[in-house]
Amino acid sequence: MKKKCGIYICSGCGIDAAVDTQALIKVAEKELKAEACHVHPFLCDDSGLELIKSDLRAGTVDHFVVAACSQRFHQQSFDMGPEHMVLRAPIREYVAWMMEPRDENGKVNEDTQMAAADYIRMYGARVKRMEIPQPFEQDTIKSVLVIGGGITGINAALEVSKAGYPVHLVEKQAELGGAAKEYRSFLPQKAPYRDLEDNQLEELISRLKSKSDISLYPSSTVDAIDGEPGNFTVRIKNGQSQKTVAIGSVILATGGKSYDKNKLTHLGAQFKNVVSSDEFEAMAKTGKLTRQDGSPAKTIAFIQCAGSRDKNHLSYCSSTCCMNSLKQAAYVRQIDPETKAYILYRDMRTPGLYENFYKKQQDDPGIFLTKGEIAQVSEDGERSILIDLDNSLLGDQIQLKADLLVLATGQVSSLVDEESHLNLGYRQGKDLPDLNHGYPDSHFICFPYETRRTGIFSAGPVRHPMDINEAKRDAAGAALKAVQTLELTSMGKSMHPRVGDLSKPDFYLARCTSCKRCTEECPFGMLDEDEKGTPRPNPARCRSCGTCMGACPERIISFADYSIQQISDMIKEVEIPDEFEEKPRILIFACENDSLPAFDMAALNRIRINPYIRIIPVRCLGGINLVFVSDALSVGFDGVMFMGCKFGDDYQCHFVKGSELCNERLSKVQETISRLNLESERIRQFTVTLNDYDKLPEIINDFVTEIDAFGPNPFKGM
Amino acid sequence: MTDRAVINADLKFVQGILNSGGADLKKCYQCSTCTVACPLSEEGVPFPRKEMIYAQWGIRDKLINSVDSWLCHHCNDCSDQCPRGARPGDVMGAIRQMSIRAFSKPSLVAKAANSPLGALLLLLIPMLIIGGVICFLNADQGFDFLTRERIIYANMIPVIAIDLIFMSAAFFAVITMILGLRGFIGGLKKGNPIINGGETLGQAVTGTIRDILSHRKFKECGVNQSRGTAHLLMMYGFIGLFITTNLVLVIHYLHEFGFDIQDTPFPFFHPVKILGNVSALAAFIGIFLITARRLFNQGVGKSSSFDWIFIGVMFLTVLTGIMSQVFRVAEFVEIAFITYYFHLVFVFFLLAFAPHTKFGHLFYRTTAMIYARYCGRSLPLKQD
Repeated sequence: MKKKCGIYICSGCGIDAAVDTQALIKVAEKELKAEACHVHPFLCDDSGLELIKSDLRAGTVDHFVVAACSQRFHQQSFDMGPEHMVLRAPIREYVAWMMEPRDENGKVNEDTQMAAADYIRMYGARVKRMEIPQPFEQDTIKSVLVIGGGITGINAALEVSKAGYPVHLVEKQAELGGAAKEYRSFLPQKAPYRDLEDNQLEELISRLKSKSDISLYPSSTVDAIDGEPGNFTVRIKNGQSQKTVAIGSVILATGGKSYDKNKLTHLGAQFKNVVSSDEFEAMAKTGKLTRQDGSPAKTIAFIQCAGSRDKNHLSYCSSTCCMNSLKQAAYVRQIDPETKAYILYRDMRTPGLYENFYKKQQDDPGIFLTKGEIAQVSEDGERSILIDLDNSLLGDQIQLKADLLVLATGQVSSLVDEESHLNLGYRQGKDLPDLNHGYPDSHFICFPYETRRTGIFSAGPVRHPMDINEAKRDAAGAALKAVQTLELTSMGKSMHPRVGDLSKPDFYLARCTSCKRCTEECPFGMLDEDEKGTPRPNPARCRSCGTCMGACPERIISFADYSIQQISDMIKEVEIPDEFEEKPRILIFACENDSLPAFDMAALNRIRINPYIRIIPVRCLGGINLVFVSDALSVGFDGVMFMGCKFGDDYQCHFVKGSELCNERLSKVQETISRLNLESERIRQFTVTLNDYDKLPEIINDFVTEIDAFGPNPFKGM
Repeated sequence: MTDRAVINADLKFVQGILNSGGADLKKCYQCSTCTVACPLSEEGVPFPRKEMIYAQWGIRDKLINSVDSWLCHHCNDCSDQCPRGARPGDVMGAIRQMSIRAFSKPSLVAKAANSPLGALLLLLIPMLIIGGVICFLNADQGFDFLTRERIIYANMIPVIAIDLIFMSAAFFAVITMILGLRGFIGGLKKGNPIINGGETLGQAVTGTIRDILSHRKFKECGVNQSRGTAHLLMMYGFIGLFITTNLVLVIHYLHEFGFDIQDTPFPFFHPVKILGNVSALAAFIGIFLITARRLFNQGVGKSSSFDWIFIGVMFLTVLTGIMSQVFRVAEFVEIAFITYYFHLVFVFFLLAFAPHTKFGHLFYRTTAMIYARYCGRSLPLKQD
């Protein structure tokens, strides 16, 4: 069916002050042969929207290009329903607000006008290629699997159940409770955060057991997980017996563990009377604090950061050990008011209102705190431990004597050095990919609970070190994400970060060469393979980033509303002045998550930008196919800039690997470019994040100056 | 063995400081704002940050032997600036108190003199001695001093008896003071080794006396300027009264030995009388200000019994002294004699137990200030 395209040009918000909008009509009518074409002074108000909608009702138009503000504004105003594509040509931000306005006589600047016309052409061409995405629908199983029956798991199960979804809870041990089983008391939980709480585990477990929609699997492990969100098949193993259940999403709450105390021989771990905080917690639970020979311990020292923030052991801060030791010092004083507790710290870290608990403990005359560096821990006979402290608050070189030494060890994820808890049947492996310290790979602040496996969320100390209070909050958050997965998946919609996106990649498998690039590069393990290596998509695992589209050398992967053809059309629509006009053209591919917002920010600040650039937004730089480079160079662009997020170990890519993959692909194409007698410097990737918005003119101008030195692209006009 | 300083936290000592006016000690988190704020703390040898952590850990030796705690004049600039409300100024006061208590001999007297009940018991001593002497001397005359024409206190208790009683009290004070100071100086030497650059003993003594007479150190305080004035009035008042007492003594005995001079009670415009009254007034205003400030907590922390017993006895001594004269002139016979009796009792307490009470700071602080100059305290001390 032929598309009927309408082009609607806004002249408000200062667009008219820089652009001759009437002239753009000519471009739309003559070049693009649009079915309808209007200029309106205020397109997003009621009369403007009515202008568009009346054309829609009359049936003269079914696809729309709105040449006005950037695609990040007024998304809902310009939504014409699921049956109609609306594309946004951003002539307000990237032309009117950033390029030279009309002169004092009201004459428009030639370069500015050309840029506006190009954007009309680019989007007018693209909209003709676009199709309406059809949602991937499947029968969704609306239940959640929780792996791990500790504080996090129990809370997650209760939260999911509270939201009205059935839960399957798998616990490795015979008893529920996890690490909290051993706790004498819990940390303060309510204002003013000064007093310890009783161990509330029993109450929590009985609440869990009273829920009929929570199925418990004690002494069990997960043997296999196959399928995709909304439709996972899980094999639960209990001894020799196995059971298969169908579930929709997964919460991994297998917790953390303490760093192995025995590795800390520099802190005296090999001596008698030296225990880890876990061992001390268990001792405190019995109500007797003793040395190994059973005699009472009257002076108990705590060494903080035992193995933490130490490049030979754990390089990070677990953030919980300070509070834990303060809690245990409180035990010392509760159990015997004559007993002294020494806390030897590097920095006391008691985040937020935990400060109040720290203050309370500090006020106890029997709790002695000092900063210092541990020089040596030695044994004084069988009954005492000597701690040499340098640079302490009490003096440069001091020695302390304790009956019992507690090493406050940090936390490690239960994913480290353990059998797989998930056993995923994914082509990319049975576990969650990790990046740092064995924690599941996701930005733990920006995108909590997310892992690189869609529909599988991590919560609690398995994903970063945390205490019980934090784990409880984490459980609630992950539970909501798990429920969200069930609902969005049932509608065929994408999960984070393109929440609600209906488009999924289409594979024209007849032309697939089974090169496996897509199955390897997908950041989310969406693609499995058949025995020949042909990709077997699991659409519900997809997050619609387009990395597969960029990867495919055969260009057989595309989305209904985002394809290689569409991008290539945009590239080819730009009018390239010939080489004698000395008006170079630079193409910029900008990542929608970070770099495009930087342009918007620059525009809001009216930062003047080079008029020779043309910007094409992409979902992720991972979607950059090398054909874009050859298209751009062959139509005569003098240079191509790729702007995206930071990559590497501290990447900021929403799709994990997109900018890194783009960088890799570009490095491979450079050689080909050189072979064409073109300078490989014409193609370059830049890291541009939102807060780099003020550097944009400089970045672009530097690039343009460099390209100018090479002279115009020789393919111009060919 | 190791040459490291072995630290053993002393819970009891910490509790001692907490109960001696340093109740907020544990709030300190060692930011050292106090040291920066302190107008008396010098570069290289700062306080009171380190005293705060020593006190938190109850490191007795480091504290009672510290000369630094005596350089503090408790102006509370530090407490004013402390972000945690740990009141380092008050803690320094508590440390000095612990120091006096630790060195005072016999320690039982020190303990008694600074607890409310113990102080009452100790007050019984002068009450019984003086009361006993009065009874002994007057019983056979039927206490006729009450019915004589003029109120003459010497009729109740003759000067010679007073002198004998107070000489013994002073003797006790001097002996215990010497014992206390001997230990104290030993402690100072141990805790603050002499380094090159110190003053000679003579320079140190004259310098210190100059500092005390001018109250120079007090004047450097920021938030608590008026405190220096009160203390200054108080101190000069007492010096005046001390001189008056001694002049009276001399004049009395000169008279006894036949010199033709006016014996007590002196007329109103007698120079010694004027000196005595002016001094008494100064002391009264001083002690009144000090008491009021402590009562209404103006820039002063929690006062302990150590403070209150000293201030209270001081106050009562001055008050009964003034009132004795007022009642005598007004001819309230019984009240006048009773007031005078109590005046004697309080003076006895003040004198006899001076080294054990807060009055002892007169000796301890002076000694410490001299030692600080002598040992070259203004150069960095060797940290151990």
